[in-house]
Amino acid sequence: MISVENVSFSYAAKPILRQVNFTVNQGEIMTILGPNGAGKSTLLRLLRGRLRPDVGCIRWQEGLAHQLSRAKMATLAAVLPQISSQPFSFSVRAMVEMGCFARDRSLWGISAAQKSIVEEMLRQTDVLHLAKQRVCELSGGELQRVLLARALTQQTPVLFLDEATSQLDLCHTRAIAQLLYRLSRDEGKTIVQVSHDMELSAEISQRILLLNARGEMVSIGTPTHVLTAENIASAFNVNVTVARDQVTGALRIAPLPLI
Amino acid sequence: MRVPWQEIIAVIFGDAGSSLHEVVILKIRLPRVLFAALVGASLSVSGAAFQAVLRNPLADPYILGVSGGAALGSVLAITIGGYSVFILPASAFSGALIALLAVYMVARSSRGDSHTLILAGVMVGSLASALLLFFLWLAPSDSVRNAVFWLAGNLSNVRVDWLPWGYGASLIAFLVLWRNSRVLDLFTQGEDCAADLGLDVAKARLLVFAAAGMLVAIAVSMAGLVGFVGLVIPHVVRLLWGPDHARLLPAAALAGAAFLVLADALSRVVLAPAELPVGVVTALIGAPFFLYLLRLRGE
Repeated sequence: MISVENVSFSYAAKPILRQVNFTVNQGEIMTILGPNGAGKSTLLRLLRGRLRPDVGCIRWQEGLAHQLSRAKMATLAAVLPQISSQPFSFSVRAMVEMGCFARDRSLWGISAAQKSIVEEMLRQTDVLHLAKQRVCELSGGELQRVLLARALTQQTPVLFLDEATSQLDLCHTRAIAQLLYRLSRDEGKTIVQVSHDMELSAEISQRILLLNARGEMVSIGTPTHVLTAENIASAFNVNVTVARDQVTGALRIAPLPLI
Repeated sequence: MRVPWQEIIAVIFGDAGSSLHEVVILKIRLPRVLFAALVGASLSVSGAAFQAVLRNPLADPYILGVSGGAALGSVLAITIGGYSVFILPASAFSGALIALLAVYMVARSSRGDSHTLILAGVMVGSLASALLLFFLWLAPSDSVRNAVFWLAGNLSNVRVDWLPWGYGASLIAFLVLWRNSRVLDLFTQGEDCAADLGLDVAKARLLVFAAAGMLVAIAVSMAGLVGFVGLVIPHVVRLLWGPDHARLLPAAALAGAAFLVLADALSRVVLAPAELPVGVVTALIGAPFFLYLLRLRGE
């Protein structure tokens, strides 16, 4: 789907990523984990062609990522950003309709087909009942679901998430995670996310890419393969124990006590 | 001079009234109303466009220093003798764009912090005003009418022969912006998001800056620094009809036109027969409004 070939990248002579190599497979959920400053968000920006690698290349079937136009890329990949303040009080529906710009640039409003897609995505993300509300009146969880609806309206095969659930409470985090899992399983959507939540990532991801603070790959593979005490110590410089939850069987990662 | 309203209607619809009244209405008052409407609509629409692209509801051509740049450009053109319908707005346009780019560069390096944008705008505006005063001081007194005209905004200098040009050029700039309503909607989400939604941000921004800068140049080269119209009107219109630019832009144009016509009427009757510069009236309304918005955002 996307192949990252020997990519290095630096900002103002400061190396951010060093010799990163991997491929994103169609229909998988892949999580990029790593400490602050490991270049996770930069890697996402490189993947969608917003930055150009210093060395190496990022190849989509359609061409090199940084050579694809914004318009083309918006039909291939949508982004769910972190929620931010909304200084303009658009209605939820108008907000989601902005996602149609990727495929329908007509001057006055959007086609009926696009309208029904918007309707469907509002339903899928469970915000249809909010369609007439103003976005500045929404809670963080609601706004995040609206942004997800907008990203889905772009109808792209790939979805990127940049710490999209980091500001949400447990309930909303679970709800979004479940929706993502369903999208990948039922609709074959490819999802690449940056996250700090190792346990949740282990739960929903097929593969995990672990970076260290120098921007090097520590490990890539299935969650159980990557999230070992040694790898985590090497990437985060923190000693942890990794175990299975006795009830659910899920991966549990516990740092050693401070005191 | 007092003209009865029946007379006004009669004259406008072509029935002969008294010839004195006809002259007053058609030659003095009507052009002035058209003039105020043009300036008000241009400032209001440009304010709405700046607010979207800079993602800041406090943006306004006057506060951003864009009007200051345009005024400086105008005064430079006048001092070197270019008081014509083309050279003056062209020079104002260059001034507006230079000021806009300066403010944009500073704001960009601060990663979109809204207060930095406003501060940068105020400083660019101050710099432009200082340079403007400097050039006015250098200039022979008869080449420029007076400093108050430019600094306080004034509609008393109607150039009837400029009106068709002004309306034509503003209409083009307005249509360019209106055609890009959906693009302006995307800009309100931030440049980063807009790019991810499929917008070629750099190209679109240049287009919007050019069109909005042209509107400011037209308004300022004709009426000097009339502030806050671009702040107050889009705000009120958004409260009434929402932020979608397809509706916001035409509504802001009409409301801006009506607002400045009224403000101008007010400026002429408050101290009649003396005339206040209309910029004084708009600032008296707009500056407290700005402070109110600032306070609202703080909460």
